[in-house]
Amino acid sequence: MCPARHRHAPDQNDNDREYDLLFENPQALLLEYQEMFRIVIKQAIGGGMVKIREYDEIFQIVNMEMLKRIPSIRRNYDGRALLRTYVTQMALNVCRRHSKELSVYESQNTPLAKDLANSESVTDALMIEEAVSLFRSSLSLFGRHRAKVLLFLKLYYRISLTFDDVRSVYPRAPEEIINEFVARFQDFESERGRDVMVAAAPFLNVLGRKVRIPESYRHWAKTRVDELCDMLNGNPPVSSFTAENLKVLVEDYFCPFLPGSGYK
Amino acid sequence: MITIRHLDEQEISLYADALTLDSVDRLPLRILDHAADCRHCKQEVLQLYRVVRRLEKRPVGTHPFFNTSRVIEHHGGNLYYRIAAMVTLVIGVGITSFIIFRGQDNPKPVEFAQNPTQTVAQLPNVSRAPSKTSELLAGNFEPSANMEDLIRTNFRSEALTVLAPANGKDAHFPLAFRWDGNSKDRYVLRIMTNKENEVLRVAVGSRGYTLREALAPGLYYWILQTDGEAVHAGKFTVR
Repeated sequence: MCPARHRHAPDQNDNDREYDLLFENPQALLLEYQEMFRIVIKQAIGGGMVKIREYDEIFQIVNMEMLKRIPSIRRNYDGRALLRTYVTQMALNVCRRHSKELSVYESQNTPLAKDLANSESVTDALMIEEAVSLFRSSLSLFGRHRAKVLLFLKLYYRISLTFDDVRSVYPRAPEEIINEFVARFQDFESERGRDVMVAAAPFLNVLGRKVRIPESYRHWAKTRVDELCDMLNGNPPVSSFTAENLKVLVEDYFCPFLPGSGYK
Repeated sequence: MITIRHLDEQEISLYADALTLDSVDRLPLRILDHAADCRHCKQEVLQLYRVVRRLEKRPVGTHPFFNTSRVIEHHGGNLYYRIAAMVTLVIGVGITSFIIFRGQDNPKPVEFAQNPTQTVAQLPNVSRAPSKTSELLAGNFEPSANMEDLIRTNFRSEALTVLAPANGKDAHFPLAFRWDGNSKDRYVLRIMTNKENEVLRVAVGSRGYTLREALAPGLYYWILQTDGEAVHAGKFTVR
């Protein structure tokens, strides 16, 4: 369903102005989006989806494809997201599709490729700041599971629990049980991962009123950790987060110390 | 077959905008709920978000979705819609009850089958309410999502090779568990019902174990552990 087509006032906002251009002058619209297309292609190079020497060619392809898709965008754009975000998503998909035709999909770890992909963040501090920001955004994406993910990240990485950590997941659980659970899991960094889940399982079963074996809980936590790493690494991957180095971001989340953090 | 509808390009774009504007809690429920459960869509959203957050020039003005007075559906739901839904439900139940009870006061003549020698059991499309026993029995065969997940886990396969039983097959007693493990390792075999109630835990050798006592009908999961860590998970059915 397209938003009502009417000419916007001269003091309109950018999205309205771009929407008018979509109908009146699509070439001018695409000219405005060139920066976005460059970032999309640079990310594709950084991830090895596209070779550096193919930059110009794929840049041309993205522009031509987007021009061809203007009628479809006019029909399908429903006016909820920003038009530029929607067009960026389409450009990402164009890039993915054509990169497979142009080149063999292989990972490039050349410094130039990585630098190019990260040319907007040339210092370590900026890169860390980006990682921190992406990690917090990734957590948002878990929606209603977020509180549970945070609790299990604490158990997985052996970070002391708080009453709120548990209450957020089990709002109707008795306070005594929560207090006992929290008291058990303070300063337990030296315990082995599987021992932690063996000790946590009885509490989790009572709190959640379910019967699960420790391996189930450990597996759930590990799956979420892997999922977070995949999200941060991207597809194609531009980073190399593992369960081990993800710990830094998790610890920072609960007690900010990295650049770019500072609030929970 | 249930087809999962992933987020489309516009929904992914809306989520990316929400992350930029810190307005995730104002997204439509369908988008929030699907992304919470879908690894693929989470990745798509974050991939797009990586790009849009790098734009030097941010758009000026209000966002078409997050900066309007449009009513956003929350988990609590709009109060008026909920009241309307409740009223509709009560009316619907009332009408249905009226029709049912009016039908009972004036029973229709019994229609005989074309073949009068047929018994009720032989009439087509005659359904019988399942007995409580059969319902309970069926519950013993329902897969456990957690255990199914565990079975799909890629354990360190170089540790041992499982030879029997074949995963998911019907079991016959005595039931042989066979594996080709390291003779220096100590193993523990655990068998659980589909509700993750443990029915057996026994220290076993590096080659296998034979379960001689028959188990009650149902779906069972088994885990082989060494040094407290699972090295294999499987399942079998007893009928």
